[in-house]
Amino acid sequence: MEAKNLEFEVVIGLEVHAQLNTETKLFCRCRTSFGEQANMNVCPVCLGYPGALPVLNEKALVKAALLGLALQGKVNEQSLFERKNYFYPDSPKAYQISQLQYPIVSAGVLPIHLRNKNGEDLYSKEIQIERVQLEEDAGKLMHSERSEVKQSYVDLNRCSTPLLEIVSKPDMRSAAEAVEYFKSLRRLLIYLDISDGNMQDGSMRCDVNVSLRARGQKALGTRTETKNMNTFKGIEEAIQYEIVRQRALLLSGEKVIQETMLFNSNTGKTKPMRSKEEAQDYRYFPDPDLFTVFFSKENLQSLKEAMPELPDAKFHRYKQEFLLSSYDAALMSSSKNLAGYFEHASAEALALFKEAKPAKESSAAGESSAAGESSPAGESSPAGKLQGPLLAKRVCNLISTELLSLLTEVRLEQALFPVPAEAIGSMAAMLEQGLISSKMAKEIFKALSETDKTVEEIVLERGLKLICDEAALEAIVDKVLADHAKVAADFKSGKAKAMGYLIGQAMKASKGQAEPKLLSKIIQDKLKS
Amino acid sequence: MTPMTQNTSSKAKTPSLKMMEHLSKLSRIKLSDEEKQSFLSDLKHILVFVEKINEVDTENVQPLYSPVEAFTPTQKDVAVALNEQSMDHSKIAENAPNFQLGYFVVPRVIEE
Repeated sequence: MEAKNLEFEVVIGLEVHAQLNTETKLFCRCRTSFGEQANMNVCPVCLGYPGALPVLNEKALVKAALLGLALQGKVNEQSLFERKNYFYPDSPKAYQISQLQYPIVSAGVLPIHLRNKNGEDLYSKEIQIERVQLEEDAGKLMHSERSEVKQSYVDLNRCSTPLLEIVSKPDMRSAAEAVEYFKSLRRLLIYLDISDGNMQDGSMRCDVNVSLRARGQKALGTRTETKNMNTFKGIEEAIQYEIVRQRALLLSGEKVIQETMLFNSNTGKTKPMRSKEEAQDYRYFPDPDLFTVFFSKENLQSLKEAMPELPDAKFHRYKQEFLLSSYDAALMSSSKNLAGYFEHASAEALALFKEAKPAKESSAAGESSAAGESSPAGESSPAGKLQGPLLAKRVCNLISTELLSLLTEVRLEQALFPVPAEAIGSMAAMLEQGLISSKMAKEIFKALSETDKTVEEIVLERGLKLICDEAALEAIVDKVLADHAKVAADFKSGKAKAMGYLIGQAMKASKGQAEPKLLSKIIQDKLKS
Repeated sequence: MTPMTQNTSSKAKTPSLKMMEHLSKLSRIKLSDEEKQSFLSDLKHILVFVEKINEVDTENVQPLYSPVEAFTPTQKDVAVALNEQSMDHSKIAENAPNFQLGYFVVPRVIEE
């Protein structure tokens, strides 16, 4: 629940760290592979041996620039690496190579869209990006659970793997906005193949800056920084907790102390890190082992030309081109693989529908658009023009009701779909043509995910086809009316409810395969005549 | 290049014993009282020299970060063969104060 803050405005900024999915480290050619035996991916450079020289990973530089472009940011032709000096066993050089005065990307923007729990649009806003910088990660420390063990253990496999630090401006005004920003950024990084975005393994984590200020006040309040969060829930809870804590302080006339906090996910509370005796003093200076970084305008231009369609652009296109609701458009564009699957299936559905249409011009076209009860286009669609949206909506429904429940995030990331996109397209086309019912679609989908059969094979094998043949349906109806002559007489004498019973009986007689609209039309015609 | 952050070190603090202690702590170098005094006097002299440099008018001069007129070279993102890349743990152990079972062993450090 959002804390009520009538008297205060919440101001939030995020520093996100994303590990790049390069094959090798930022300044040496050691692998970045995760889960290796300790200290296997190390060499004199990342171990900080005297005399070893760092050489910049070209791919890491390109990926940083790519993100800058995607954020509509300013990608600098020249940038600089500096040393951030500190002693800690996770950093054998006693400094981190990072960027300070001249980052690779300065300025940018990321649009976010807020929705309520039902997926309805609330509002959109743009979060300004202050900078994106390249830097190296630190190693990993391990501590024994037993406090009497007076030693810690260091694994330097992760040491010097490339990170992007993405710093937002303090543009967010609620925990929900912060989480949405983090999600949008993660989606973008995965889309562009910059990072695997795997939060469990710590490939993506963030520090959250929170402060409060009196409403209407321009100057920022004193902020706290909560470090190293890697779950959406953690980010949300830590922010909520900080808001409540800081608000209580301010209301009682106390001051918020600018300090670094750690969030405990078990208690849902933040607490200050043991305050260091010395104020942080990193004594940055340009790394003399590395010269100025150059990323040419030509390189930037070719990156720009090769830029794929970004999630936000897809989101807007799905709304415009396929008339999807915001909720559906956001869902279909939420992952690159899912978006590809959705687009492929929709294209397939349209192709199949167009192919089939000329043959059944008169019978299907009129009925079918009326059958799309949830379609935004309504019933009087000029054939062709709105077929795309209608079919896309059907594809979208099949994906959200049938496919997604079978898909784990990992399988989605690896594009391991239980049912091929063509099959979804084919089912959508059949639904739209009124050849199958949504109940049949469910059954076909289940069979598809359990066997290697095609939609056509399953349909034939199980006789899953709606009966659209008027003569065949009339025969069924005639028999039902004869068998239930009394009910039919009831209807004629004004008992309107009897109709439902008769339709039910006829449907049963057809083994559920009668095309429902056609069936009820026939019954009505017969009873009224 | 335009810097995103400004260096605000135009007015350096006068070196004091307290500053020497701070520096000694930051650089993890233990100094005796005598050493502190002697380094303090060195540091004062160094700063006088730096002040001299500050007198030069650099109004329209771009900062120089390296005397080498070159951009930093890059390498392809290709791992070197496993046997070349990975360091023998016995070699690492030779260069570490305490290396056991594949880990560097250090005095216990833990952030609460």
